[in-house]
Amino acid sequence: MKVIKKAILSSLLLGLVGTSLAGCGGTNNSPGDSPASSNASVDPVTIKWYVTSGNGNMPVTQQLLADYKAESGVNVELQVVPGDGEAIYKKVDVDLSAGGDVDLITMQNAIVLSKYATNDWLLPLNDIYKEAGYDYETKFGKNLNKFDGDTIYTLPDGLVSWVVFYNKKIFDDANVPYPSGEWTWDQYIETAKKLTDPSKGIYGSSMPDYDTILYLLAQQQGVNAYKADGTSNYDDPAFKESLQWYGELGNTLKIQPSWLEIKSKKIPYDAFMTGKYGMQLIGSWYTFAPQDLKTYPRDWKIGLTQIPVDPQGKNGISTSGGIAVNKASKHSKEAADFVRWFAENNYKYSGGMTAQVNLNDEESNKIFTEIAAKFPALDGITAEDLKAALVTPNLGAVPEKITGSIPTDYGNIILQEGELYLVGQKSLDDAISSIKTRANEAIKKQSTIH
Amino acid sequence: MSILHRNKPDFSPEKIYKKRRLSLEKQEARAALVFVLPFFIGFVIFGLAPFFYALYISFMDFNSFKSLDSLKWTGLSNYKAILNDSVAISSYFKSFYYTIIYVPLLTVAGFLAAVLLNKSFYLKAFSRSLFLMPYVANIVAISIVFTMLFDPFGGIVNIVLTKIGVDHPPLWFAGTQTAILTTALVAVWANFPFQMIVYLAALQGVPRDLYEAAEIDGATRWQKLSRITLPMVSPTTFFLVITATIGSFQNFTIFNALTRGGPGIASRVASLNMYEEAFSLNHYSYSAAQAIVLFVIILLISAIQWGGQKKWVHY
Repeated sequence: MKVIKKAILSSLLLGLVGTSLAGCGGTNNSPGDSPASSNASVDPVTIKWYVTSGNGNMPVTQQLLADYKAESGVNVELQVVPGDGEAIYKKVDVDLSAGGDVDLITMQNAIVLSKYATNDWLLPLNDIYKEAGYDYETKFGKNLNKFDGDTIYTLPDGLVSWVVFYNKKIFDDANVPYPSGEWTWDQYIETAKKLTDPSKGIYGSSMPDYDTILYLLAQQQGVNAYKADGTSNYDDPAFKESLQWYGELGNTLKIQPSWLEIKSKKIPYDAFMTGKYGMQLIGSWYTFAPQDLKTYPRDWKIGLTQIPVDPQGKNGISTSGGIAVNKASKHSKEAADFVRWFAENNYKYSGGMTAQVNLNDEESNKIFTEIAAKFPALDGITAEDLKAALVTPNLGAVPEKITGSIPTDYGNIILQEGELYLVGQKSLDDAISSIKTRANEAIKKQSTIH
Repeated sequence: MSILHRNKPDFSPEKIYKKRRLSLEKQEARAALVFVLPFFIGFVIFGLAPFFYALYISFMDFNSFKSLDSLKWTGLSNYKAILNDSVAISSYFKSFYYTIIYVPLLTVAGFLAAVLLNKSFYLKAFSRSLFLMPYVANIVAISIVFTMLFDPFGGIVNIVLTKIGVDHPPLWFAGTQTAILTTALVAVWANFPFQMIVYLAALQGVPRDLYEAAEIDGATRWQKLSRITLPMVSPTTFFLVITATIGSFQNFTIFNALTRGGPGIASRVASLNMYEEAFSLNHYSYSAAQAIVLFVIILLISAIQWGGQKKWVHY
C-alpha cells in the first residue's frame, strides 16, 4: 500500500508542479572521474545535493566537489533543480514528500531553514559533530543558527551583511562627500536628497522590495514579531513606524522610486547598476554585480559602506545560509561531514565572507584581500574598505527575517498588506491592523490544520 | 426429429447474413474501443485519478511536507478551516467577480467580431487572420505588452487619458478596484478569437432564406439580429457560455502573469490562493480541499446554466 501511495504521489504531484527533478533537471555531475581521487580502488560513498541550475552549472561548484572528493573520498552528486532562488523549494518539497532520498538541501535563508526545521525534515547535527569531536561553537560562534535552544541543522556557509553600495560619480557630480563609518538613517536620507536629480532621472536611494524592508527599523531595534503567547506582535509601534518611514522615502521624500513605481515598472533588483541611483541598500551578496563588468559594463566607480542605524537600534543586519541534511539520508555522517567542509571552505570558491569567528588577523586579512581583488581596479576598493563595511564591531547584529511559527506566511502577509498602504489604497493603521489580524489567523490555522 | 437432425448447422442465407452482420458489428465495436482507448487511458490517469487523489488528500493532514507514510485522516477539518479563512473565502468571490465580467464580455466580443467578419469586404481573409493573432500570442508576451500599456507611470493608456483631461487615471493592474477588471479585459482580448471562430461557423449555418423572408416582411436589422440570428445561434452561445464559465475559473496563468494576486491580495483569485497554499506554504490537503470546493461551485453553476437553457436555447 505504501509503495502504491508513493507511486501515485510521485506521478501526480510531480505532474502538478510541471517538471520532475529526474526528468528535467536531474543530472549526474559528480566529479567521479577526478584524477585527484585518492580512493579509486574502493567504492566511494555517493551523497546527493539539491542545487539550483545556476549553481550547478558554475565551474567553481565542480572544482569544489572535486576538491572535497580528493580530501574525503566521498562523491557528491548534484541533483540540479530547475530554477533559481526560492522557487526551487516548491520542487524540492514535492520530491522529498514523494520519498526523494537526496541527502543535502541548501538552505538559502533563515525562512527556508525555519520551514524545513519546524516541519521536522532535517537531521540535527549536534550529536554527529560531538561524536566526531568537532567544535562548531568555537568555529562559528554567534553566527550559528540554533533552534529550540541548542539544536543545529546547518552550519553557516558564509555571512551576508547588509551594506550600502554607492555610485561615486553621482556623489562627485552633486559635490557630496562619500559616506564612511557609522551613520544614521537621517544622514542617509539627507545624503539621498542631495543626490536626487529628477531632471537627470537620478534617484539618491534604492532599496530592495523584500518583506524585510517594510520592518527594517523594527528589526534593527530588535523588536520581536511574536508576543510571549505566540501571537502576532505587529501592533508594536515600531512596526508601524517602520512601514511609515519606508513609505515616505518613495511617496513623500521621493528620494527613491515609490513602491507603486517599482511594481508597475517592474524595476529589477540590479537597477543600481544602470548608474541612475546614488546609493543601494542591500546584502553583501550583491558584490557579484560590481565585480561583473561583462554583464554590467560601466565607466563609473563604486564604493561601499556600512548600513545606517537608528539611534534606538544600533544593529547591523546579517543573514547566512548553509546546507542541511535530509532526515531520511542514508549517509548522514558523510553528509554532515560535507556540511562541515562546505561551511569552512565555501568562501574560497564563492569569493564571499566566511561565517567562521575564530580566524586570526592574518587569515581574515587574506579573505578580504581576495574579495577586494575581485572588484575592478577602477573602483579602487581595498580590503580595509570591505572590512569597514562588513565587519562592524560598533554595531550589534540582528537577523534579516522574521521567522517563528509561520515563517513564510508572515513575510507574505507583511508584503501583501504593507503594499496596500504603500500604494495609497489602505491607511497605515488599517494595514498594520490587517497584518496583525491575518498573522494571528495564520498562526491559528497552522495549529488547526496540522 | 432425431438428435443428429436437431444438431445440424443452419446454413440458411438469413442465418449467414445475420452472423456476418453480428461479426461486423463486433469488429466495429472493437475498432471503436481501440480508437477510444488512448483517450480513455489518458483521461483516467491524468483526469480522474488526480481528481480522486485530490479528494482523498483533502481529508488527510498533508499540511506540512512529510512522508506519505505518516499521513493521518482528519475528516472535514480542512473544509472547516476554509470557513474561518477570510483570504480563502474572498478568493472565491474574486473568482466569481472575474467570471461575471469575463464571460459576458467574451461572448459579446466574439459574437460581434463574427458578425462583422461574416460580411463581405475587401481583405476579408487577411482581416480574419489579424483577428486571430491574440489567440496565438504567448501569455507572457501578452503580459509584458499590457503591463507596459497600462503602466500608471508613463504607460500609453494613461498618457492618452491625461491628454484628454482625465486628472486621476486608473492604476489598472496596480489598483485594488481595477486589477481584476483590467485582467479580465486582457483575457477577453486574448481569448475572444476562439468564440469568434465558433460563432462564424454558426452564422454561416443560418439559412439565407430566413433573412430574405424577413426582408420581404420589412424586418429591420435589429429585428433580423434578435429574431433570427440570435435564436439560430443560441445552441452555440450556450456551448460557448458554459465552456467560458468553466474556463474562467481556471485563470491561474493570466493572473500569475499579470498581477500575481496583487496589489496586496486584491486579485488573489481561488486558483492563485490554492497554488500559494500548496506550493508556498506546503498546505497540500488544505489546498486540495479548496480545489474540491471550487469544483463543487463550478458544478453548481454549470448545473444552473444547464437547467436554464430551456428558456433561451432553440435547438
